[in-house]
Amino acid sequence: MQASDADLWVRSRAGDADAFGLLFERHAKPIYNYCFRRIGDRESAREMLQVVFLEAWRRRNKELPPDKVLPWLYGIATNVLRNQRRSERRFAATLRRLPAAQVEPDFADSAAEHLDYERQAQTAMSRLRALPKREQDVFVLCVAMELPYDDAAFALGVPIGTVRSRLSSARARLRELDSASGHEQGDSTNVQEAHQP
Amino acid sequence: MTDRISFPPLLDLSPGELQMERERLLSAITPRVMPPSVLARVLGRRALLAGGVAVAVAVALPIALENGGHHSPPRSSVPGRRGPLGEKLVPTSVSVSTVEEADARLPFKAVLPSDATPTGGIQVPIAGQPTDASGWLTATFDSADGSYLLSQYSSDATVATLQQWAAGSAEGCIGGANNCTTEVVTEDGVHVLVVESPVFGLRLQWIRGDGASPVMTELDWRRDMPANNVIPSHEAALAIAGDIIRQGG
Repeated sequence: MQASDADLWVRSRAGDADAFGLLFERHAKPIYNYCFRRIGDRESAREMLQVVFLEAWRRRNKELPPDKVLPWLYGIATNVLRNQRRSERRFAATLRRLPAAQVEPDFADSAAEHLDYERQAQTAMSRLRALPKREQDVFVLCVAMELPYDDAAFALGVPIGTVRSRLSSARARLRELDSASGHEQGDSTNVQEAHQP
Repeated sequence: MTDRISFPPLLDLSPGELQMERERLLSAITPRVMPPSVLARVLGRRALLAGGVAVAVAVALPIALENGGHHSPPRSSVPGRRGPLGEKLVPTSVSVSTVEEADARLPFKAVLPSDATPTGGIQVPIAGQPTDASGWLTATFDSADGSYLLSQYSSDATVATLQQWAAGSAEGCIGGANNCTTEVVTEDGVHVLVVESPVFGLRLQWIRGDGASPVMTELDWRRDMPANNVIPSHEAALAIAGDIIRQGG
């Protein structure tokens, strides 16, 4: 009998840290990956993961529609990453008090693989930096994280039409950049984007 | 597919890493526990009991059975207080003095022990606050068999759930202990889960109304609230449970 996100959020809003811990277990992986894909560093992504959930806890008075806990967390993550230094300052004392994260030892193959992934994420983000920040947000949410448009709209606090137009604009810009640099034309990603309405 | 933007595959957090990150988070957001002796000096023992759950949430960990995803009902927060991250805590409960007033604010009928008056009134949700949806009630009682906290709240648990908790509580049970004793006994035809923890104290739980809207009742005798609280025998605790059950609770 698994509690729904909505139930866990209601309990979190009432100060139930255990319920919030369950939400963390449920959504840590996508938020961690979102942070990783935008930062390109595993350890920093883990710190950002903590900051995102600390910020969510701080804002737990927020009333959320039943299926929007994860999109809301993506929204917080987007803001936290955009204002990374400010967010870290806000929680500096708290982060200092946290027990140090123990990093599980990497075997050689896996360490090399992780380095490759970090390079891959950094390369992807360096290309996306050619886009305005608001288009970067939409592109990573909808394409890299395969968020449905309505969830991306909720996360960013914009109408769904704005998500569509920003994504379209981002793709057009990337095509132009490809064209200018002599790259082939094509889709804007190697990640299969979920079918969107 | 000829695109030059290639994101890395989704990375996994191992179960160990996930657990560690969760513990790190909870260590940051959980209020530090003020020793009951200090708390009692600050507030006075009566205030400690009267404030009941409301005070407890601001200074102590919410108590939860970790097994089977079970948790106690949400606890209220104290007006004007701030949480460990500096966030303002919004009051979620109000104290009423009669069962009728409580019933008016709850989605179920409140049942209290007969011939007993709660020391700090009956805590019920404030309409529109998050706890209002499931409805919950708490009240603290002083008795010859120790001080105990009564909680009632809507729950989708069943007798089978209680038995599952009983089986799971042998490891990692309430209060962080790992050597709890558990049993499910029958009191006036109702299955009652009895959990005794050397750290926490004694908890009784049962479900009434197996239909659409079951209600969970809990009786908690905490060893530390008040300090050196009396923990009654199972028989004495079950006598109080039986009294509530016979009234329909």
